[in-house]
Amino acid sequence: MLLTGSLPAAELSTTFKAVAEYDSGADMTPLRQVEHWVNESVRSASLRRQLEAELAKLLVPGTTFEAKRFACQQLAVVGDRSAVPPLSELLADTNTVGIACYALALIPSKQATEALIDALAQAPGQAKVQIIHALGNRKSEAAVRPLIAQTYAADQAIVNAAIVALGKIGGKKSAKAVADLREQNRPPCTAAVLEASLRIAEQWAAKGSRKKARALFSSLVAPGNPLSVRQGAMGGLFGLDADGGEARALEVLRSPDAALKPAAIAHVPSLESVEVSAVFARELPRLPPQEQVLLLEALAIRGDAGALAAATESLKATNGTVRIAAVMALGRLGDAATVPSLAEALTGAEDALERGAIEQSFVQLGGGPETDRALIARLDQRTQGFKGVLIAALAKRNSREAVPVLMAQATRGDSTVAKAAFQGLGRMAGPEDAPSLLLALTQLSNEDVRGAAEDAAGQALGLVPDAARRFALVADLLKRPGSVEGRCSLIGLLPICGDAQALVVAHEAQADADGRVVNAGLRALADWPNSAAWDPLLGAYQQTENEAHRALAFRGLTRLASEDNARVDAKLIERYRTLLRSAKSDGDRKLVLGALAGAASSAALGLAVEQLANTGVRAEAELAVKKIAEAIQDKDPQAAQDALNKLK
Amino acid sequence: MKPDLSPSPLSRRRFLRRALGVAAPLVVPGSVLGLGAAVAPNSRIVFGGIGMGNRALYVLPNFLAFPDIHFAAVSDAREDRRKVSKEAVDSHYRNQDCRVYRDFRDLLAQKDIDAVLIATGNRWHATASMFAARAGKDVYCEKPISLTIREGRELINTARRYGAIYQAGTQRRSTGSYQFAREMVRQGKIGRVHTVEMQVWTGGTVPHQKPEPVPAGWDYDQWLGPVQWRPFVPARAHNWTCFWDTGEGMHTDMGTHYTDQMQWVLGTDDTGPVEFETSDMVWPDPVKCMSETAISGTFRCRYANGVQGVIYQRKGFTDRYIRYIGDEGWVQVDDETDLVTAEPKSILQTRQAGGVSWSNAGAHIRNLLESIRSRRPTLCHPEVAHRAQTIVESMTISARLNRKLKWNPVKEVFDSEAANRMLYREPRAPWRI
Repeated sequence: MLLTGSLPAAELSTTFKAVAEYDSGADMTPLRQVEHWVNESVRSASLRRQLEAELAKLLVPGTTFEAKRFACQQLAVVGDRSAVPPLSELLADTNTVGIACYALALIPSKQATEALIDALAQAPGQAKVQIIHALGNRKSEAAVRPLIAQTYAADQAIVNAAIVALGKIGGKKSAKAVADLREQNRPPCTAAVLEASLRIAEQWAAKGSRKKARALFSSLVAPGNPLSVRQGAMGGLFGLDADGGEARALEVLRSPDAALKPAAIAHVPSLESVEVSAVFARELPRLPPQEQVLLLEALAIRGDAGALAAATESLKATNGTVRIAAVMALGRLGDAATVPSLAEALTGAEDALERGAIEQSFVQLGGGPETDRALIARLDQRTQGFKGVLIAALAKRNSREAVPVLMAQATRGDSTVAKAAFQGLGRMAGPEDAPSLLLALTQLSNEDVRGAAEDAAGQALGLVPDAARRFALVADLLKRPGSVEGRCSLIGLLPICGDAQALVVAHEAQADADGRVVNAGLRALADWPNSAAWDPLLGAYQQTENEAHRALAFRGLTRLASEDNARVDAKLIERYRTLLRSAKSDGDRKLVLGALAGAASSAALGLAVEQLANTGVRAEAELAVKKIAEAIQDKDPQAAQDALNKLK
Repeated sequence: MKPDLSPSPLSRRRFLRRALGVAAPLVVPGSVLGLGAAVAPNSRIVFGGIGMGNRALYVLPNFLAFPDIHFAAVSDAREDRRKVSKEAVDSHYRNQDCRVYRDFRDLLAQKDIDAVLIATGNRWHATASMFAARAGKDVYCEKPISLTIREGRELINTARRYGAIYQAGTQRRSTGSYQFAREMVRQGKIGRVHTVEMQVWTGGTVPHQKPEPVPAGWDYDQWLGPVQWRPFVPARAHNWTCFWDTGEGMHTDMGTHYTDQMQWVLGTDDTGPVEFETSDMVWPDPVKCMSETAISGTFRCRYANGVQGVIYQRKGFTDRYIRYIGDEGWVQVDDETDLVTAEPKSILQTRQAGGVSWSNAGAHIRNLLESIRSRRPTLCHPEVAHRAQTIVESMTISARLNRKLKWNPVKEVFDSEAANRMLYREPRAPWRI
């Protein structure tokens, strides 16, 4: 309800009386009501005055602390000068000074500042610190003189708070006081004085007093101050420099001041002059390797021609770390024209780390197809390990132009190159590449790469949108004469086809005279994407005398059952029952219980409960009972509770 | 007819084999920089932990996994947490060397500590971060980075003032799924973005409870920190996210993850929306509950170019998501599963399988370590984090005042005096901004 005028006195009185007595644990309705009114009072000055008066009454002795705290929270939002006197009464007490300052810090009238200043002299220690913080945050120059007085207090916490508050307020008098404190060099005050000084320098810089700001920042950046202060001050100076800090960063780089160099180098990307990269690149040979690395990274972020030239030059560095930084920078900066330099670096690469970095750079190079073509052109190079890097990079670049090239490398090259080529094809082949990849799989003579070839063909086959079309591609090749290994590979891809015709072929493989084909067929059934394979796989499980085949089939059956957990019906429960009954070991039963736990039904819960009696699988059965009971809690609370009771 | 691009069935075995073949991210390997398994002790970055509760223990293994980090000390206001976290650190290093502090200022005074992990309750995040920066330490701080907008601005100023490197623990900018979604939006795959939908889970409620004695080993005064004192009530202390001055509720606590993503994807890291509004707010029943923050609601913002952001606080924990909606499609990241979905589905063709979820903060920590070394800003530096946090805090203020607010992202002020007076809460001394 929107309020536009004043509230009835009786309603106010009743509500505020309840608030005045509030303590944690009690009904909060009156507090929420007052909050509502406070929010509504934004639209009504009369309501605001009314509420301010009532909130002020909550600050007097006799109300609870929590009522006072609540009132201060509200007055922070709507309080004005009329709230200041009762709030001031709370400043002398260490228990209430915090909540009073909570409100006074946000009341805009100058009476709030005056009240805080007036309270300062008499307030006890911790209360004084609270008041000083509030004065600092109000940034009123009227507080400067009393705060200066507090910088000579006996209590160091008060002294430091006053110094920081002066830094926040700024202005001539504060600056003078802080400068005096710097001169005095009182060690317990050092951190506070440095903070106040940094704040004053920032304010001068923001107000355009560049000369004063520069002088102060320069004194703070000097050696002897903590590194963090020096870094901050250097950042302040960069902001004041007409050249954005270029000359200063260069000066730091040339100095023996190693501590500041990383921060100076980190500033290089934000410098604007077009010559920056060339200017800083000239410093590279004079820097130690770690700083060269940082500078190369910074130049790479700049991304200009000067940076590219510097990174290319650094490929010749004798230090391996620097060379790798240069390689990585080139990945970010370069394009097709960079390929020869990186290729040359690859021929001289000292170890796998450097080759890996170059491969990553090849991947990252800009230039699109032109860069792809530049990389393809280098595939003829015969350096050891060279082709593998290029092929991997082309694959990661998703270069369509590289597909025929990689196909040729996959079928012609040595094992390492062929494997890399198939792996690459697996990443970027599309559905249109499926026929040639399947054919390559059947014609494969190098068994070392068969796994990679199967993966690549499977990936491309999986992208063929129509299941019948997928099967037709595989079936066509299965009809042709070929090696047993090739046939087994094709059978292994039948789950990707996934349709009824493919299932028949996988099933028929069980009757093959060659054990390798039988094995491939069984693996295909065990990998089948849906429960259509249940019956043939169950048949295989029941008939086989081969223990490895039996274990494979059992795992497959369990997986197939779990695939249907989202739609539990009588058939699925019967399948779980079959699995539990035909399990040959506790290991098998544990496997089934793991799958059963995902079947949210009372019948599944019953099966899990039955297994509680089996001590060999008790832990897994308990877990399954808990999971299923939780899942069916809303649907069948009685069954869930009964089952959980059995765990006690 | 568009082709059916839904993936054809690949077996689990084959899928896993492919997923394991995912390429490494494009970074200079740490070992090249002398940061490998055999890192010299003086090359390590020495960390201390501030606030060692559940979140800290969750993320701690991600820190300990880096050979170039040495975790040397922990601090917490609770004795039980000091003990458990010391044990975790000592167990990793197989020694008893982890130092323990009740007051984090004593930890910050240690000269050998370079950086801190701050995983306190939300009330402490900004204050502890500022104290750390003043002490010359670099910072990894859990989100949300602040609880008031002015506190966030002061955090930026403090970090700059001391040249401190700061990483907000929002993680998702370092996560493949979110990076992919951003890339797709930025490549124009969904056309011009007009709406960003985000969803966090329904907020909890806390029944009334009377004050009780503070448990032994718990320094409640230190625990409260900058929050104005109030009596110790166990349910309030344990459910601090449900109170304004300690947590600000679910849309703030979790929402900042997604507003961070929204800002990143929209390229608005140095600015923000210009308007905030809330609706459908459901608040706790004050007769039964002492909690203050919303149970559910809809929090909206609008950018100057018309793009709308909306956070739904509703449904369950696992229903979190962010969805970018454009005039030609949408792309969504499911936060629980890390799954990316999109329309048209062709957007997903270039998504590589596998990758590490946001729940592993390793890449995000690595980014911090690289920044500590180079002194360059992190992915989630204070300005970035503050702008994302400003959105959810502005939504909070809009909800609390029950009014639409206009916001000036340059001056950081609202069009309402009452709202502007909610930009800040004076901390309890000796704590300060």
